[in-house]
Amino acid sequence: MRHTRVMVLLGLLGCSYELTGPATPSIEAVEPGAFCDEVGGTGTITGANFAPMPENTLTDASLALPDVVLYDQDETAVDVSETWQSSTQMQFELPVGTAEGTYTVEVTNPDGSQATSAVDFIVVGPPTLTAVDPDLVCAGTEFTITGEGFVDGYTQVWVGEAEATVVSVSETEVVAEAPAGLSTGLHDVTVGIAGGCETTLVDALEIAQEPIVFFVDPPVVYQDTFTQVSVWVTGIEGSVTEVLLVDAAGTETSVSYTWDAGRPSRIFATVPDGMPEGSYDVVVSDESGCSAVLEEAFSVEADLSLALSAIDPPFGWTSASTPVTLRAGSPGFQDPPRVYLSPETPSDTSLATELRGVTFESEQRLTAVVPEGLAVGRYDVLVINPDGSIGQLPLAFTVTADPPPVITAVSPVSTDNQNDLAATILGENFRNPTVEIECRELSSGTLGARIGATVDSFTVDQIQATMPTTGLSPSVCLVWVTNDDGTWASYASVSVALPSRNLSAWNAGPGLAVARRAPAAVAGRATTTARFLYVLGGDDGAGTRLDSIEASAVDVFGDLSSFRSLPKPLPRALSHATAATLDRFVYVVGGVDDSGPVNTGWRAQILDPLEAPEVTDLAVTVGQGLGPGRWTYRVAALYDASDDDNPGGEGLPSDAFAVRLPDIPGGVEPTLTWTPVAGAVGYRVYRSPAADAPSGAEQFLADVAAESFTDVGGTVGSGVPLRVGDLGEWSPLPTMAAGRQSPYAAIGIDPGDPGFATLVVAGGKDASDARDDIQWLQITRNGPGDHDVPANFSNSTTTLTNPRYEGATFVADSNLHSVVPQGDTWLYFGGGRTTGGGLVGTFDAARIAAGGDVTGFVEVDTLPNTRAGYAFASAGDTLYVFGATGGQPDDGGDSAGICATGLPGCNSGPPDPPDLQNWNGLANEANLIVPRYLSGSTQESSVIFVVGGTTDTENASTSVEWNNY
Amino acid sequence: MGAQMTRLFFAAGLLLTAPAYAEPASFVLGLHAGPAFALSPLDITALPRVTLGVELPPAQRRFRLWGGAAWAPPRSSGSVSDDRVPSGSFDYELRQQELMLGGGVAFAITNPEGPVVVDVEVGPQAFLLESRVDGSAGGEAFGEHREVYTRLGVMGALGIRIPAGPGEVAVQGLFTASKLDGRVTGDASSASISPSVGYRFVL
Repeated sequence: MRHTRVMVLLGLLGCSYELTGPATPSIEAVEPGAFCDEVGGTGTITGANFAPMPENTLTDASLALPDVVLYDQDETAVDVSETWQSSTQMQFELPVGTAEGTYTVEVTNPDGSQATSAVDFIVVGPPTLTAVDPDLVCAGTEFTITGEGFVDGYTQVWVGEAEATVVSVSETEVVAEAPAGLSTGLHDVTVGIAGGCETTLVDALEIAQEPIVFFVDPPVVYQDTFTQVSVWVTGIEGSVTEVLLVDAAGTETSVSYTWDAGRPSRIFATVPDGMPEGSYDVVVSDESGCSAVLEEAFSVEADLSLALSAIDPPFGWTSASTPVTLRAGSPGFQDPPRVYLSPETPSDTSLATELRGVTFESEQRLTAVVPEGLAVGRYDVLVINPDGSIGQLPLAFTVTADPPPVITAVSPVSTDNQNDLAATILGENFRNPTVEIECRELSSGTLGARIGATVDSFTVDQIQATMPTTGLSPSVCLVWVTNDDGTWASYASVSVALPSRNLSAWNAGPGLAVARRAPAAVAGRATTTARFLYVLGGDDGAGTRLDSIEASAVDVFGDLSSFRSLPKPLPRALSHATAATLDRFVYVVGGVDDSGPVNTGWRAQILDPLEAPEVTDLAVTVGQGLGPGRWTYRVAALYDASDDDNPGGEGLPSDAFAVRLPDIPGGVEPTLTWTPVAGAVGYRVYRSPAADAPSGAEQFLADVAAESFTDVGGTVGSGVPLRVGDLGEWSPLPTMAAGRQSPYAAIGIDPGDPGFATLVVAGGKDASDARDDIQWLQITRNGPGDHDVPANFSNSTTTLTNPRYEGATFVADSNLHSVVPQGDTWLYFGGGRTTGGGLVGTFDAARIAAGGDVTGFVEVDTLPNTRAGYAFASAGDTLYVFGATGGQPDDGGDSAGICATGLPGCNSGPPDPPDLQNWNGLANEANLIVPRYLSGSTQESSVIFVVGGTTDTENASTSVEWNNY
Repeated sequence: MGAQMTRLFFAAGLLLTAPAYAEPASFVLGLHAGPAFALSPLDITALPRVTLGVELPPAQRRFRLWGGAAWAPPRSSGSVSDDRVPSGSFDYELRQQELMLGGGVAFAITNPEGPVVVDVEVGPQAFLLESRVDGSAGGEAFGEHREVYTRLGVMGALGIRIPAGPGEVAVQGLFTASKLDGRVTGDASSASISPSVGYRFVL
C-alpha cells in the first residue's frame, strides 16, 4: 500500500528513465574474412555510428564501448574484446581456439542500439597438403599445390622463407609463382591460411638453376640465308625445350636447334632466311620451365656494304679441306671477320657453314680454310665484319665431287718470247683440261687477259701444252688448268723473257727492319696459300751478329708485305749460315758466331694454322670472375722439351673465341674447352686484357695441362700469341765434322723414296781455311710438319773439286727444270772463295742418290766472272748468279743453261748431272738495283729475292729486291 | 527517514487546507539565487530558486508552509586512460541538468516579530535529472549520449529574514541532495550547498 502511494507520487513527478545515443549503428564489412583457429587474430569492423559512451563520470570514469559479439552458425555467442577506432571502425580480437565455422558479428552501442553483419567470416584450421606439381621449377614460374582447406583470398604460400605470389586458389588447389631470387635446390613449401594456419611440405619443391644466355655467335647474320648460330648458355636443367627469337616489335619466332647434353653450354640454332633486319633477343627455355633471355643477342643484316671481290680458289673438293684466299676492295675486311659458305638453296637442313682458320692479313686480303665434308654444290660466299657490314659473292664457290686439279710443276718455267712455250704441266686430277696463261707485264705491271693454250695431250697427272708466248713482252704468267667440271688450278709462275734469257729489271721490295750482312734467306709455306720469305741472322757489317729473324708474306706475283720480326730468334747470333727449306721446316747449317765458324745446325717448324686447338665448349659459373663485355680468347698448343719438331715450343693459336659476358653481380668465370692437338703436352691461354678490347690484343693468361681452362679473372701477362708465318722452337741437328762458315747446303728429295730427303752440306770455311768435304743427313719425312733426323751426319765418299765457301748451291729438280727427270734432284755447287780467300769459278755437279748420298760428282763448268758471296737462282733450265763479282759489292749477273741431252757444246746430259752451257752475262737492265756482296737470296713462285748484304755504300743493308725469272 | 518526511509533507498539506484562524494567513512569494557548491565532482553552478509559501497564524506565526522549484546546470569533464581507443585515452564532458520541485515547512526560531528572524526550512524534493555526455579519443568524436531520470531528494535551509519594504530579505544557507546514479554519472549524489540571497514578498 505504502509503495503504491510512492509510485503514484513519483508518477506525478514525471519519474521515468531514458538513455539515447547518437544513432543506430550499422556494419558494412568485417575483415578479414577468415581466421585461423590456432592463432585467432584481429578483426576489423567497418560501418557507422559506433558510439562509445563515457560512464561513471562522477565516480570512476570509464568508457562503455560498443559491444561486439560473434555468433556462430548455431547462434552461439562468442564474446570478444574490442577496441574502438572511430565511429566507422572497430576491431575485435578473436580468441585462440575459436571453433571452426562461419560467424556473424553483432555490435551493440551502450544505448542498446544494435547492428548485425550481413556478411560472414570464417574460422578455419590448417590446410592439408598432398602434392606439389611440378616439383622442379624455375624461379618466377608457376607450380600447383594440391590439398584441402584452401581459402581464396586468405591463402599464402612460401617457398623456403620467401613468399610466393599466389595466382589462383580453389578449395583443393593453389597455383603459385616461385619467387625470384631463390637459391637453387630443394625448398620447403608452406601454405598458410588466414594468417596463421600453416602446413609445410618439406623439400617439396626444387628450384632449378636458371639458365643464362651469354652470347650468340656470330653476332651478325645475313638475311638471305639460313645461318647456324651458336647460343652459349649455362644452367640448362634437363634439356632445352625451345629457342625463340624476339624482334624489337616483340614478334616471337621459334627456331630449330640442336643441343647435346654432353656439351650443354652450346646450342646450335638455325636463324632462318628472310628474318626482318634488326636486333633480336634470344630466349632459351629448358625442361624445368626456366627461360633465359639475352637481349639484343644478334642482328640480322641485309645491306651488302663490304666490297668482297674474290675467293681463290673458288672451289674445293668435298673430301678435303681447302685453303682459300679472299679479297676485297674498299671498304674491306675488319679483324676478325667471319666467313661463311651459304648453299645455293639454303634451308634449315642446308645451312651456311663457317670457314676455319680465318686469318686477317689486310683490309683487302684474308685467308681461310674450307672444311672438308661440305655437300657438293654451289655456295654463296659471305664475309661478315665485326661492325656488321657484309660482303657477298653469289654462288662463287663450288664444292666438287671430284678432286680439283693440282699443278705441282710447269716445265720449263721460263721461255723466251720468240717461240711458243711447249710446256709440261705436272700435277694431279687432270680431266679434259683446258690451259690458259695470265701474264703480268714486267715493265708496266699490267695484268693481261687470260690467253688460251693448246692442250696437245694429257693424262691424269700430266699435260703437254703449247702456250702462246710468242711476241709477249717480258712477263710473269700464271698457268691455269681448268677441268671439264669447272675446277681449276693455277701455278705461279712461268716467266717470259727475252731470247737472251736476261731477266727484266729488278723491283725494290720493302726494307728489312734491321740491316743485315751475310744473312740466310729462305722461302717457306705455312699453307699452300700462306707463303713467306724468311731472313735469318747475319751481322751488321761491323762485327755484331744477329739472332733475329724477319719474315714477309709473298703474293703469287712476288709482291711482299712489310717485314716483321719473328718472336722466336735463332738459337744464337749467327752470320754466314746457309738455310734451306723442306716441307714446313727451315734448316740452318754452319755459320759464324762470336767464337768463329760453327759446326752446328738447327731446324724449326713453320707453324701450321691447322695444328691449333679449336675452342668447342664454354661453361660458366657466376658470382665471381670477369665483368661484363666482350672477352676474346686464343689457345695454343705447348710441346714438350723432348718434342722433335718444336721442342718446348708453342703452336699457332686457335681462332679468336669471343665471349660476351652478361652483367652479373660478382662476375662470371668462363670455362673454355678445346680440342686436343696431337703431341701437345699443355696449352697456353691468351685473353684480351680488358673487356671489349679489340681483337688481336690478346695477351698471355695461363699455361694449363688439360684441354680446358677456367678463367677466374686474372690479369694478363705480357706474352702475345704467335702468328701465321712464325717459326717454332729450334731443334738442333747433329754436329758436323767441323765448323763451316758460308757452307754449301741444299735439300733434295730421295729419288728412291719421297718419304726421305737429304740435307747436303759441303765445304765452307772452318777456323783455319776453306774445306772441301761433303756431309749429308737423311731426313725422314713423316709429314709436312714431322721430320726425323738421324743422330749423325754421314760423310760422303767424294769431295768438292776444291775447298771453297761463299758459293751457291743450285737445286735442280723437275719442278724447276724440264731437263731434269721427274724425281731426280741435281745439285750444282758454284764457285766461291777457296784456300787463302782467293776466288775460284769451279762448278761441281752431283746427284742425290737413293739412300741419301751424293753421287756422280763431277766438275761441269767454270764461272768466268769469279764471285763469292753472291745471290743466285735456279729455274727454267737456267742457273743465275747475281752480284759480288770478285768478292766485292757488284750488281752484274750471269746465267748458264743446263744441258739437255744432245745439245751442242755439252759434255754430259741426263740422266747424269749434265754439263752447263756457256755462261753469259745478263743484260744491264737486269743488273741488281744495289751492288751487293754477302747478300741473302732465295726464290718462291717464280720470283727471285735478294736481301741485305754489303753494298757499295753500306756495310750492311736493309734493302730488298726481287725479280721474276 | 524517507517515511517520516513523507508523513510531514502530508501534514503540511492538511494544515494548508485546515479551517482558518481569526487572523488570516499571509502568503509569501520568494525569489532566491546563489551559487551551488556540489559535494560531488560537479563544477560550481548557479542555483536560482522560486518559492511560494503561506505563513500560518498559530504559534505566533512561527510556521510557514512553502512550495518551490530550483534549477541547477552543473558540468564536469575529464580525461581517462584507456588503451582500447586511439591514442590510449579519451576526453569527456558531462553537462548535467537538475530541476528540483518540492515543498516543506519553515520554522522561525526567534521572535517572528523581531527585526531579524532566524528560521529553518526543510522539505522533500523531486529531482528531475538529465545527463548529456560526449567525448573523443584520438581526434575521433564519440557522439552525445543523453540519460534522463528522476530521483527523490531533500532540501533544507538555515537563514535569517529581515523585514524590508513590503516583504523581507532572506539570506540562507541552502542544502539540496538526491541520488545521482545514472550510467553516465555513476553512483553519485547531487548534494550541494548554496549560499543564497532572496527577497520575499509578503502578500
